[in-house]
Amino acid sequence: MTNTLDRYRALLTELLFEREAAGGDLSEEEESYYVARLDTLWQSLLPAEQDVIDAELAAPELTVSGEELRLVDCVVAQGSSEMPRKAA
Amino acid sequence: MYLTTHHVASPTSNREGVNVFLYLHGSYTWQGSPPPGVPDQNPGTLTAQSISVQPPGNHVRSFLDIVVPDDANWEEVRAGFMDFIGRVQRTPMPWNGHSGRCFFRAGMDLGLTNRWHREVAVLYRAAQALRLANPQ
Repeated sequence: MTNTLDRYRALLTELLFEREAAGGDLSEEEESYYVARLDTLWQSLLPAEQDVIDAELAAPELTVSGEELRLVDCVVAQGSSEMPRKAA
Repeated sequence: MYLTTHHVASPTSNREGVNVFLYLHGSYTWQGSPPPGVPDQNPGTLTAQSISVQPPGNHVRSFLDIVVPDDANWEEVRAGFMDFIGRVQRTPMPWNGHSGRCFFRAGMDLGLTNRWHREVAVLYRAAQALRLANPQ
């Protein structure tokens, strides 16, 4: 696999994050900007890499190792070197 | 620099919000991955914080940790973060890993995972806002 695969994933992630930051939808101009860059990278991918991306996009949603994080936050004073959270 | 964002819920009022903490390491710097102990034993010195639900004792529903040398600019963090999320999003949470000089960790309650893009984006934006407001 090449760096292009990682660049494609990073750019796709950036697009999804920008959509979230914009409240769900980007302007047509912004969307086109990302789509054009994604298209260019897609053409640079090997067929096997394109298959990897297709499989990832069809994969189940995110999984987590437990139902809750079981963490609580802490007061931290300015200038302190204490961590701001700990195990519950 | 250790920059951490928490989505918290108060166990008493049920209020939810986002708290952000910025620690700096000053002259203590590194190349590549953070030295052992950073951030858990050595988070640096708390330099700024943005609190929407007052600690302590709030349940941390999700978090994002960013660890980079103090001299890293936000473009380095942003590029590392997009690379990190692009690589780890198909693995079970919690996530941790690095990209270049940037180290990241992220985790969330199961109940938030159906909108995980939005959740992580909110944490990231809050971290970015505090850092850019405190560029020292």
